[in-house]
Formats: sequence, C-alpha cells, structure tokens
Amino acid sequence: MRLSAVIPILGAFAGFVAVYLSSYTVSAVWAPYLSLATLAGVDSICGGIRAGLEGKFHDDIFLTGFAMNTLLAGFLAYLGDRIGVDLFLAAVVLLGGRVFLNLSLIRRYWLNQAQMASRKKDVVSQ
Amino acid sequence: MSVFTSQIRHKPWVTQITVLSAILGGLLALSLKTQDRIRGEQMPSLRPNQFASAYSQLRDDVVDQKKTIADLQSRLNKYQKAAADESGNAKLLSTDLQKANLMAGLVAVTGPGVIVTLRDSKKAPPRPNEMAPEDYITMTRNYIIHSEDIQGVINELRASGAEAIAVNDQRVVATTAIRCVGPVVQVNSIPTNGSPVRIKAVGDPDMLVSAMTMASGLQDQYKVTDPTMFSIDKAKTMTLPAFAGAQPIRFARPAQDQSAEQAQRQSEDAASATDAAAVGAGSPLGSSNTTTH
Repeated sequence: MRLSAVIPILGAFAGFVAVYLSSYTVSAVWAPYLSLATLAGVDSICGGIRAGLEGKFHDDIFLTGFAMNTLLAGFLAYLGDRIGVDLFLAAVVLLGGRVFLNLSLIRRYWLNQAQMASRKKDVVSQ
Repeated sequence: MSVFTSQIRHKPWVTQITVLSAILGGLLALSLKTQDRIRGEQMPSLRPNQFASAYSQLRDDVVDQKKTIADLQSRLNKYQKAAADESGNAKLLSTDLQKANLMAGLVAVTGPGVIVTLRDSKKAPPRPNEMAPEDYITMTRNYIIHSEDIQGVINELRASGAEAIAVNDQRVVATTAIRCVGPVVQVNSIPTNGSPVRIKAVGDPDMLVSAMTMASGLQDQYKVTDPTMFSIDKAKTMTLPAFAGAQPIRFARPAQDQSAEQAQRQSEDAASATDAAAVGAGSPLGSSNTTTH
C-alpha cells in the first residue's frame, strides 16, 4: 500500500526528467504564473492522494480540480498583476497551507495503518 | 508485477494520480528550468551596480589626478619664472616657452572675444504616434545641436583669427576631440552640457562677430530651422581655463633634420602646385568649371 504513494512519485520523476532534458522553456513573463500553477498542481496531487487513502476519491472531482486549480491560480496571479494587488500571495499561502495539511493527513493515515498492522501481528502471534 | 497490477486494480485512483503526477513533474521541471534561465539572464543586470561603483571611484580618481596636474603645472610655471630671473639667455627661452604654452593652451588666457551659444531648438515637431523613434530622431536632427555644429563654429572662429577657444569651459587644444555621447557633449573626454553649448573664443570681437554673422555664413544656416539655436555675444574680457587633461605624447617625436627638410619641401611643393593650378585655370571658380566638363 506504500506503493500507492511510490508510483505517483515515480510518475512525477519521469515527467520531470522528460521535460528537463528537453530544451523547452517559457518566456520570463509567464514564469511566475507557471510556478504558481505548479504549486496548484502539487496541491491537487496531495489532495488526490489523501482522498484516495481515505477512500473518498472521485476521479471527476480530482481531474477537474487539478485542471481548474492550475489554471485559476495562474489567472489569479495574472489578474493581481494587472490590478496591482499581490493576489498570487493569497494563492501561495492558501495552496501551501493545503499542501501541508494534506501531507500531514497522509502521514497520519500511514501511521494509523502501521499501528493497525502491528496490532494485527500481535493478535496473530498471541 | 502481479503485486503492482493487483494494487492498481484495487485502487484506480493511483493510475490517475500517477498520470497527473507525470504532468506535474513536467510543470515542475519547466518552471525550474525557466527560473534558472531567468536567473542566468539577470546576472548581467547586476553588473550596472558594479559599473556604477567603479565609475564613481574612477571619477574621484580623475578629480584627484586633475588637482595633481594643476599643482604640477603651477609649480612648473614657478620654476620657469625662477629660471627666467636667473639669466638673460634663460629669459629668452622662457618667453619662447610662454608663447608655446599659450599656443598649446597649457595656460589660462584672458582677453576680449566672443561667446557663441548653441541651443537645441524647442520648435521640433512632436512625434506622431505612428512614427518609429528612429525615424523621429532622423526627422528632428536639424533641431538638435550635434558635435558637427560645435566643430563648424570652432573651425569658423579659428579661420577668422580666434587665438584661444573653450567649449563649455573645456579648453580646445591640438588634441581635443569633440563628440556627442548620448545627450552630452564630450570635450577632451569630459562630458559637458549638451544644450546650451557655450563656445568662448579670445580674439578680435568685431572680426569674429562679422565672420559668424556674414550673409550665408554660419548664423544663416540656423535661420531656416530656428534662429534661437545660434547666438553670439561680444565680451570685453573673459578668461579661458588652461587645458586640464593629460595627453602624453607617445608616438610623435621631433623629426631629424633631413626628414624634416624633406617634409617641408613637400608641403611647399603642394602649396605651389595648388597656386599653379589656380593661376592656370584663371580662378578657383574656373577650375571647378573645368572639372565639370
């Protein structure tokens, strides 16, 4: 069941390497929005893993969430730039907070499972 | 392998998250690379700061050096005066030296003369929105004072007997260069005011003024564009500073007797040849006619 976290990480690594080895970069104007979109993506993935572990995973919510959050974060940052408010800070704070929250929930879930497994072992050995 | 597939079959969300993780990894790599590139590009923009500090330090150095030059020059003058007091022979030498210094612009001079002021015109038409900045610069070229204008004035002043000239209080000497660098005019490699440019010339004021204001002379050239660009005033007395820069002579040496004589002969030959051509054609005007045939 740890595999459920390892495989996505492997996938992320594969994607990372594939793009990193290509020669493609974005223009400097779009770089901040891209970074924010990446953060939104991290948030969605964490949220997805958490939902999956909790057994509440809905593929439609997850897919639309990933797409919408990524685009919306970029758009918010752009809008903030245009109207002179650092809206992207709001996105960074919110998304960053959610990433931490989701990671802690995932960690707790694993810890719970590990505890349950060891208890099971105890029961069997007894 | 069976472990993997069974896991995935049980948890379909793992597949989807993996796919999106791959996309996310791509995004991550992309933004990482972009940030790296931007950082690399921003490196040069840090350099102006370094340039600025180096520049201000060099400027301070220049100020110090100039003080040293002025100090040394005044000491040199003192020594020359002292030497002149000692003996008659040295006195003769000293007056020669004073004359040479005067010619070379190494001493401050005072006397009557004129002040020519060149100004950028304010009548330049505004840039039409659809016109490119480069085209606008070309269009308004006549409304702006350039180094050529200053050089033209200096040339005319010298031709009409100016004995000492200073541009924006920078003495014009044999090695002086006058250049436009952006919005400033560099005289003796020292940036000075681009507009107005004040050219002071010591000489016969009446002579100089009439030379500059004669019909189809220099002043008339500016009347077409904007008469306020060129103005000339007489001055009863004014003082021009000494040449403050250091210009070490590294290549030029006094020529040996033989080669000096040869060069002299060449220059005389050239002069007489020109005379002969002028006489042969009747007049300079005539000679230009013959070349057009």
